[in-house]
Amino acid sequence: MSLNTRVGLLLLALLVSSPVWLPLLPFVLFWLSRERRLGRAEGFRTLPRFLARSIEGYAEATLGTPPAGGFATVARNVDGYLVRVRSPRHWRTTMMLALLEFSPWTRLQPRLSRLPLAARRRWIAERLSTTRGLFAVPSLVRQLVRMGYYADPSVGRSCGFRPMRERVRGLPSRARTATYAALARRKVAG
Amino acid sequence: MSADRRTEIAVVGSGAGGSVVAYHLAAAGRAVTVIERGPFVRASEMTHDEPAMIARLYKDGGAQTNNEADMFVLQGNCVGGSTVLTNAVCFRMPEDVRQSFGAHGFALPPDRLAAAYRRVESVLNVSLLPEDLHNPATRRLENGFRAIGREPGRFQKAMLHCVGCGFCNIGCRYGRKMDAAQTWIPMAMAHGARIDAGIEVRRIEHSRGRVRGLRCREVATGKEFVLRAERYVLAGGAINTPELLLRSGIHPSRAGKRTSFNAGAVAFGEFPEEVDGFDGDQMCVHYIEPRFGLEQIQNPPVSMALTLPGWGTDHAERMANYRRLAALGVLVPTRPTGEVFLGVGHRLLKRFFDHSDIRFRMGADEVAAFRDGLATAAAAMLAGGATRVFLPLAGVPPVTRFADLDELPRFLRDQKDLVGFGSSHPQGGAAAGNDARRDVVDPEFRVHGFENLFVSDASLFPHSIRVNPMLSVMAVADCAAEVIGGISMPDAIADGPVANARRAAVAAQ
Ligand SMILES: Cc1cc2nc3c(=O)[nH]c(=O)nc-3n(C[C@H](O)[C@H](O)[C@H](O)COP(=O)(O)OP(=O)(O)OC[C@H]3O[C@@H](n4cnc5c(N)ncnc54)[C@H](O)[C@@H]3O)c2cc1C
Ligand code: SF4
Repeated sequence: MSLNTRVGLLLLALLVSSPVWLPLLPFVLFWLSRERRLGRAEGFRTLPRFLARSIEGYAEATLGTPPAGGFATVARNVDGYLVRVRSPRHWRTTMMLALLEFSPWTRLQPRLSRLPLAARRRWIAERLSTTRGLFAVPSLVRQLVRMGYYADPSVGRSCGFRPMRERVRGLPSRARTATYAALARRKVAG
Repeated sequence: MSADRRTEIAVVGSGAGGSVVAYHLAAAGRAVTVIERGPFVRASEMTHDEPAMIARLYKDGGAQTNNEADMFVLQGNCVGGSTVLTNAVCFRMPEDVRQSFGAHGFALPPDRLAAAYRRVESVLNVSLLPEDLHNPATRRLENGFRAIGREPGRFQKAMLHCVGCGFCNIGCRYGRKMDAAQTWIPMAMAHGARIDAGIEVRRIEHSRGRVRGLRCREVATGKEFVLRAERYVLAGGAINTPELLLRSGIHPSRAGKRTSFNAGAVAFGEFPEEVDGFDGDQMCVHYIEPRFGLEQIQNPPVSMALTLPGWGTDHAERMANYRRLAALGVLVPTRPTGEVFLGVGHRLLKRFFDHSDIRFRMGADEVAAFRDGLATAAAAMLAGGATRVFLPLAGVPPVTRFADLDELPRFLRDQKDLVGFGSSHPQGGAAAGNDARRDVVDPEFRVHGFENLFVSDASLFPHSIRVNPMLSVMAVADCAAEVIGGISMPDAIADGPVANARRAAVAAQ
């Protein structure tokens, strides 16, 4: 089933169930704006607090040692990535993260970030580790989380990666920035 | 809306196809304006911060997928287009592909094409990757290929004084990769071409077989204007050029059809000792057969984590052995069965679905080619000394013996079984050919039925060219420039960083 069909079905389901949730809408909107505000207070530029917690929870359950700044760093790095992306498909990422967070509700369990670590691990292993079916799309969140985790220099180093400045190839005499494009600096508009 | 802008030749897109056309036409004295949706990111602004660069340089931040979200389609979104993200690998189009294009009505005369390749190769300094830039994992893979009776090849690359940092896919911060942003674009500007970055062409305004203008929008501000020109060249790349045609109602029954890919996924070999694949060029060795190609692709940590198969803590455990991993990408050239289309969402809820969609599923023969490619990659790595091979398949345990590979048909039935499946080489969607009812573009690069609208990018290819396409897109663009501008091409090109470096070397002697 295509992604658009899924989104369409989701919208349809929302429409059909609107008598149930419509009266709750003001509360949901209030909660969302509060989460956004709390996210901003914690320094997140795009992620509301509950999505940041979701990323941290996923990272804690699936990755090894925490980065130097703890798993919150993963959410921060994901936020840094999302804030730079310009794309009409951007909202899908937010929706995918929301699906991840609320996916345990489908089995009447607390949302992902509120699950105890062992239950969270189990939920991710059993439901969110697949390339097929309903959970294939929220399973893609792993890519965002891995990006946020391995972007941390302390993690790269613990894997054995050495940045350029620590390699012979990276000696300043060899690795100066070439300046042919200096001309472009003056003339490109935008 | 702001006042109209004017130019003589408007080029949409500054990647492999657009930049070459812009240079030749500007060098011939034409007034050229290039409109590019993405930002201009100078080499000095590039960093080794992978998420930041992926977000800035890739279309959709690297998250463009097909409509079932089981295939990533990577493209550039910056001045220089996808060339900024390449590994600078250069292949000429195989002769049988050239002939097959000819049979399709898209004739590229061999002498003409060879001259174009020579010009492009001299500007890009295409030459064999020196051995001192090889990453240490290369030797293991070469030994492995030889041990299973396959002769490995080495890559021709477009680089000048590369330092082998291994970060090619997020742009070259040292300015050593000879991508379009280092070569054709500044060369075109030196001849007076104007580059308007951060502007998207939203629609082609046309009537009675003539384009009247391009409706453009500034990405940052949303401000709109119309760019009017005598001739218009679409060079937004596969996916994007068909999308623009569809948005503009041009050949809606044909545009977007016949999209093909070199589609791939990566297999990893874990060696008993450190192979430090990150320390050097990412791609040093390959092995190519008609049905599939194997290309080494070592990655820095983030990209490695994104391509390495494995779930949960298994994945983390594999990444902990980062220094012991060597990687081979399996590439399968697909038939042109893909499609770019504007979905229902685009019509009903444009605010949320303001993009085209991609439909693609591998056929049974392509899946079989994938299996053979994976089996060959795994065999080469085991023969080269790997103790475990991680295949990009959901649910398959690590391969530790050659006999394990017999199980592959059970684990790879269709593309949904693949993890990290995708393509950086989309092609077609505005196929060139002489059948006005089947093809979008005529053999003279003109959109069928239009007098002043041309195409010069990978979307022209009637089917996948099998090998990495950048060099061929540029060579075909060289042919296109001659026709579009009615100009005669120089035998040699004296502009650009490579020509400058050659002159400097001669002067120093
Ligand atoms: C990660 C990666 C690695 C690669 N490595 C290699 C390699 O090593 N060797 C090789 O041969 N090939 C490689 N390729 C493929 C190669 O880069 C492409 O095949 C080639 O650049 C295609 O050229 P093009 O002109 O068709 O499109 P592009 O180079 O993608 O250029 C299209 C440009 O048009 C712009 N654009 C699109 N639509 C609009 C619009 N409506 N308005 C304004 N601007 C628009 C885009 O932003 C883009 O900058 C790689 C690609 C990727 C993504
Ligand atoms: S490997 Fe060479 S060409 Fe590629 S980014 Fe590093 S210095 Fe530039």
